[in-house]
Amino acid sequence: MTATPSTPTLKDLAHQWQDHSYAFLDESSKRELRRTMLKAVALPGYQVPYASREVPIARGWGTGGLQATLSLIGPKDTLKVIDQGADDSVNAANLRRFVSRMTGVATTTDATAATLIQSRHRVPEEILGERQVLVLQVPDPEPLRSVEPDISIARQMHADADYGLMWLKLYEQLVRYGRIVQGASYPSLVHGRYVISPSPIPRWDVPKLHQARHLTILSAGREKRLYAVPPYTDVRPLEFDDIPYAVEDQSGHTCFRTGVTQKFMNELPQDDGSALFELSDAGYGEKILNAAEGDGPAPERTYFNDEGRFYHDGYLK
Amino acid sequence: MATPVQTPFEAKTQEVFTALLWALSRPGEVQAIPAGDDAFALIGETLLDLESSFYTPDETLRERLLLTGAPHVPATEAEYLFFSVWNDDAREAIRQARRGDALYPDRAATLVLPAGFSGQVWVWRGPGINGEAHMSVTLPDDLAELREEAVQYPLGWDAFLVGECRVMGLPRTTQIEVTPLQPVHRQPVPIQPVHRQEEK
Repeated sequence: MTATPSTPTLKDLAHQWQDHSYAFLDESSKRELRRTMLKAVALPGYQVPYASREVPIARGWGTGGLQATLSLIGPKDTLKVIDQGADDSVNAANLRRFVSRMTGVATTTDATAATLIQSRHRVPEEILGERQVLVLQVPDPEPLRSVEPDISIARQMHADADYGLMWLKLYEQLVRYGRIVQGASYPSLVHGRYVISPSPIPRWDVPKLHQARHLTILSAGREKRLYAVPPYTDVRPLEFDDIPYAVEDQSGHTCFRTGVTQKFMNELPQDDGSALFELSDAGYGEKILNAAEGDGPAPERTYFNDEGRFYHDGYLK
Repeated sequence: MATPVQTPFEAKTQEVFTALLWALSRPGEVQAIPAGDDAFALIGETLLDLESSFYTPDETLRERLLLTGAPHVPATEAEYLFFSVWNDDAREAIRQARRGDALYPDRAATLVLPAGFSGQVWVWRGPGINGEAHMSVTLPDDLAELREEAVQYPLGWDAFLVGECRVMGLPRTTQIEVTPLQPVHRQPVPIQPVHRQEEK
């Protein structure tokens, strides 16, 4: 029987066979993640459970971030992947290559040119814009875990907004060491309601989430939870009235490649016992060097200026 | 290996989801959704499957959304409620919609409602809004009151306002109020010193 336009054949109805779905995940996995992400945005800082799918990397290597990225991404996106500030480390290069093979999207190392940024443990130094999404990979989403190992009780504490033990933990650090030693994953209050672990970004990066222009999605694949910080939302690190929150002191550190100061630096120990410093945000460093040679766009405004002042006046004391 | 491409259905749902995500992330901003199809059905097809549930009094829409595999359940249980027509039944259903509980506020309903993007001016504040947004939007009658009843943050429902290929998000975090009419002929009032509490 020959097909007429009114009786399509099976071939007309089915799409062409492919080795993989677009963006690897099948539609029903994406739908579940998308429903979860919408809930997360409506409840800033609340950890929404989701069914974490198998992806071809091991749990703990960014599966949560990867699943969020794969559910968000479309042909119009430009992707950047960051691993601890770098674009070229094994984790970042692998994830970037995987997503680009599964979608064919353009990739970049320029934070302001990307529409979608997946990152492990850093927020870029340049101010992200209103249509950008930052996906952070989260190893441990539960800020209360160190004070309450039972997740059912921790959930009850979140429901009651009972964060006394978090304050006590910080206070004990003060008493014991004379300062707050919590370096990464600094507990922060989102929209005045839920305390989050902002993933192991340094203290330097936490203020960047406050009243940000971009949307941040934090996804923990192993722990199967996802939460979000919408644009223009308050994010306040827990701080005492008399002991203000402090970011890592970068004064006196100059990047040996670019000469930049007052940005988050990697310390490179030298044979003679001294140390060199270089920008942790490799994409930003690359942009500065390229711009200096007249080959590429000039770097844009950064969250912290050259004097180390944060761009929201009065936020850091 | 050939790079996978989106099927037409995948392309459509990704586009609708992007619109919904930005709608909820930036309340008070209108997002475009693909033209040429019923916006309510598009949103349903983007979000619904066997793992979720929905309610709608609209029979045509119900038939179409049942094809997603999602069960049609009473308004009290549904995760997603679609009202293409606004009437007393819709109001009653919304009164019964899920609001989540303290342990799981994410178990609240999401409403998809008809709206027009003109008319009364509202001031919206909250996450996703830089300061305040002045919105000219025709909300369904009594919606503000119904929302007032339902939302006790973090409990309450979230809504998508849908009109002609456009969508706007109304998450439970948004505070809305009607702008007071600007006084026209008024004598200038001498300015009094104001004692503000210092912001923390």
